Amino acid sequence: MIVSGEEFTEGQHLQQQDVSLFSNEIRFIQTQAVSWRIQGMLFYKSTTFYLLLFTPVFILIIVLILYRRSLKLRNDRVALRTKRAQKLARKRLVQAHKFMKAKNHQAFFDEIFRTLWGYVSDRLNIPVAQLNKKNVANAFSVKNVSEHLAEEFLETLSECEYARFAPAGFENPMQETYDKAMQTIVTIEKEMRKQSSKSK
Amino acid sequence: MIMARSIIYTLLVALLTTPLFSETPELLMKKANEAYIDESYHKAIDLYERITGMEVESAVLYYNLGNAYHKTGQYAKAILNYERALRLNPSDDNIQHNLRVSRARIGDRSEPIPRLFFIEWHDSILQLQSVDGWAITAIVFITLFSLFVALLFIMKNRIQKQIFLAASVFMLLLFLISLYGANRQYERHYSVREAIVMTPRVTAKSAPSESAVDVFVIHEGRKLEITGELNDWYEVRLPDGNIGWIRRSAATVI
Repeated sequence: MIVSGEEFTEGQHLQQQDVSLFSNEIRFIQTQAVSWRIQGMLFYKSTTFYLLLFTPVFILIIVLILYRRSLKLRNDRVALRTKRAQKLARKRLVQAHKFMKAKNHQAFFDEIFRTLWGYVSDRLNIPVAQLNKKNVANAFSVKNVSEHLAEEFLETLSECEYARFAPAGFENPMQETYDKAMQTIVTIEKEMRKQSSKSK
Repeated sequence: MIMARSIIYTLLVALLTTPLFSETPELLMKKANEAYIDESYHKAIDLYERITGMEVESAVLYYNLGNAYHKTGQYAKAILNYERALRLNPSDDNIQHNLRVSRARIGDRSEPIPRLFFIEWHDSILQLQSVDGWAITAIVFITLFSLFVALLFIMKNRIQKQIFLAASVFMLLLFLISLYGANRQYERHYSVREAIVMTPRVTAKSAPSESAVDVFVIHEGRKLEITGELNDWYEVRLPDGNIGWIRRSAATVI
């Protein structure tokens, strides 16, 4: 990189006859504004240097730990709700079975109705305030539950709704609704479990 | 560090601009440059040296002072100041040029030994920045690296993840290069003490005593490495590996 002045001019002369360089003269001083520093003060290896060097890494580690923790917390909460969904559905079906035995139509369909809604709310992680058929259908398709199954589920739900207010003597047979509700929940559970194991 | 340094600067500037110290580096610099332009080089030297006495420095100050010394024929002092300027701003072409001219004036036409092309590259990249320049660059790159790694973990999209992975690896590489640069520049200039010979002809002795055997003769303006010191003597080493003792007054540390 460093070429002596003389050699530089010789090389120049050979190629460019029209430019004569007298490079044995020094260049002029610089007169622009100057940024001053303390004599002999080095930034490298100073405490501030090390502090600034480790701060970004330190912040990175903290951010990653916090991120991981929030992710785990969210997963745990979802897992907990899933578990609760199955448990609660089972409990309510047992209760509905009791009502069926007692031939209490009103209470039976009410219980099945609540079983189904409660189950999807917990299982699909939908807040109760946002529970409606459209949202549920959407959530099912997001979770890759087959359309046929989703339809069946919503149909059972509608049946219960009508049956609750049906005049005496016109009700659907309770055993059929009971079996259907149980069957859909079991099948949905199976499909969702298959999906989740596939995505892992 | 920018904050700490700016606080120091502010304090310094406040101190120097109080009526008690009516001579600020800026003011002296302006006067000195005017003296230089008027070709009153001795006056310029006097003014520039008053700034160096204020414990502040800058590449431009040393460069201008070197020019003033060169103009008055004090080539050894010119070389000393150009060397000091280069430490603060190694990539400056004007400083390099004038240093070559000053060296040529005292008959030092020693050219660097031709080296392998990749060593040339390595050195020219190293000389892009001063120690602190590399140190600041290293901090910029470690900050960007941390940012990209955080984004890499937070991003869900696979393509985004790949982009940030590549970016963070690249930043880590640049960080390591900068840190290496800072360390090499530090080793070259600060862990090794160098000096310029100030007297026309110095005879180096085999021991720190006038009665010792002469080892070699060295001329004004040459660069030496100081390897030791005892009382009034420096133990110095020449680029060719010869070691001898010279009086402290014969050389000035860069």
